[in-house]
Amino acid sequence: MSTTIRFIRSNQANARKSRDVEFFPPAWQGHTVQWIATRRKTTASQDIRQEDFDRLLLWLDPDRTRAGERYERIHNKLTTIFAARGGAFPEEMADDCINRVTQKVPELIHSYEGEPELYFYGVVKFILLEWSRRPRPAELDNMGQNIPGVEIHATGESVAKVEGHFACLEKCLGQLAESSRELVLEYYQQDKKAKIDHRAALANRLGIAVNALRIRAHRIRQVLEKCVLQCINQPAGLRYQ
Amino acid sequence: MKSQAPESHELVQYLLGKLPSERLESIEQRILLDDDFHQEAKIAEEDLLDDYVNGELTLEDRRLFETNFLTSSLRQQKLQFALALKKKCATAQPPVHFFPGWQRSPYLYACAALVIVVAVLASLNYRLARQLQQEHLQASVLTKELETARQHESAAAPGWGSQDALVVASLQPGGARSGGLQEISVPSGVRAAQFSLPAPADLRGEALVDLLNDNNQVITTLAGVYPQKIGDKEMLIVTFPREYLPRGNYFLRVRGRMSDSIPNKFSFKVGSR
Repeated sequence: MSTTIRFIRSNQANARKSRDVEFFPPAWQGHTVQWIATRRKTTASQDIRQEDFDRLLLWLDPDRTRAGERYERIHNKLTTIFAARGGAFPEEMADDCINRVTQKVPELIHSYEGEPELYFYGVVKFILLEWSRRPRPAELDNMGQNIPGVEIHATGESVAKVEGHFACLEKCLGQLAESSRELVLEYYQQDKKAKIDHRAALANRLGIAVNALRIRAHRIRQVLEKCVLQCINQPAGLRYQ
Repeated sequence: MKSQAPESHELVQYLLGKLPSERLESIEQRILLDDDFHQEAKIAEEDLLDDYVNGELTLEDRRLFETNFLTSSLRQQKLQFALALKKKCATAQPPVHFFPGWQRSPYLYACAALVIVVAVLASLNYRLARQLQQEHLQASVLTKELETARQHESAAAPGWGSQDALVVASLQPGGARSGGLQEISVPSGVRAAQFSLPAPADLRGEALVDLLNDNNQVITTLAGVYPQKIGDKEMLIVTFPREYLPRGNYFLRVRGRMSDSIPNKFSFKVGSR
């Protein structure tokens, strides 16, 4: 189990590194590399060992399977928080947070009382403070002007990116069960006001509440999004096989 | 932005970076401790991305989205995904549902079964109603035919048509038990008088019945009269048209066609009309 979790973490980190460099505008990329280098230096000094990681899992739950699931949930939640706080590298910041807590677990396991998540939150606030004090490139002051939004359609490069995502999406939709594929395509079909009525009609047709439909569509979208991200990070020749 | 539940609205404010700092901590702690709330935050994030790519954000929210939300490569990826999904949904043909959702809901199975039962019952009801209508029609035709037949019969034999045109009398040999003649009345409108007579004990086969007047003269004779079993008695039933029975005294004489036995006599009187 521990080997599997370590493998997943290592794989995710590699995928994130290539994505970070590819997706950030040129003005950001220097900063990206700088931050990743700093983070690697930090994590290298932290040097998380297998036994530290096992101890973290034990602290999260005596049952190793449940501990692994809780670990994944905490990582996702930390990513959400770092992203909402404007962190440029929310996943890496979440990794960093977990590494710092992992190093503290030998003390915590005997002395800390309460939900582990709240301890993680204390470390989140500390990392955010560090992040806010870190010097940034001048280009970041005009962050909004440089970020590709809807206007990305205009450039050939961004059109190619959307096309790449589209091709991967087609492939991933083909891997879904037919009922899930139909549901996700119907759920996200309409714009504006028509969307509300359309979703209510869809929920009615499926015999479920609108909120249950919302959650079902979200879960299918997450599966789809994960599949598309994996696909897009593969070399172009292997993407659509 | 479209109208949202307060919780969802607060999450959108949080994601756009416009939530007051005093609310930040409680939202973030709840994200960490409550899995459902974290899921809501992820859904709000997706809705925000979809609203952005669909051009449904206000100018202010759009600016915040671009400056505060799209700050990571992760969210850039999510934006690319939202654009691709929008494009796919715009080109996808909606599936046709003849019986929408019926694979998923037992209630819809029940509805489908109910519709079939109602259709079968309606069909059965229609067939029975049609059959009943035909029988009514047939009965109506038969009634008309019967009425016509009665009219024909009435026209062919006036005075013998119906039961109420008869006077029925039961006579005993000799006369009334009180000693006098049995009197019968033949009111106007009555076409005939029917007499019920005990058959003579020695009668074999056909009987002849003579109607005689007071002077012992034969007015008419009925032939082909046979005894009929009524209860435990053998009876003779004879009918005479009223024209034969004006006021006066009469005799009915019964004799066998094939025997020489003494005839039986039945006396009676036709009284005032």
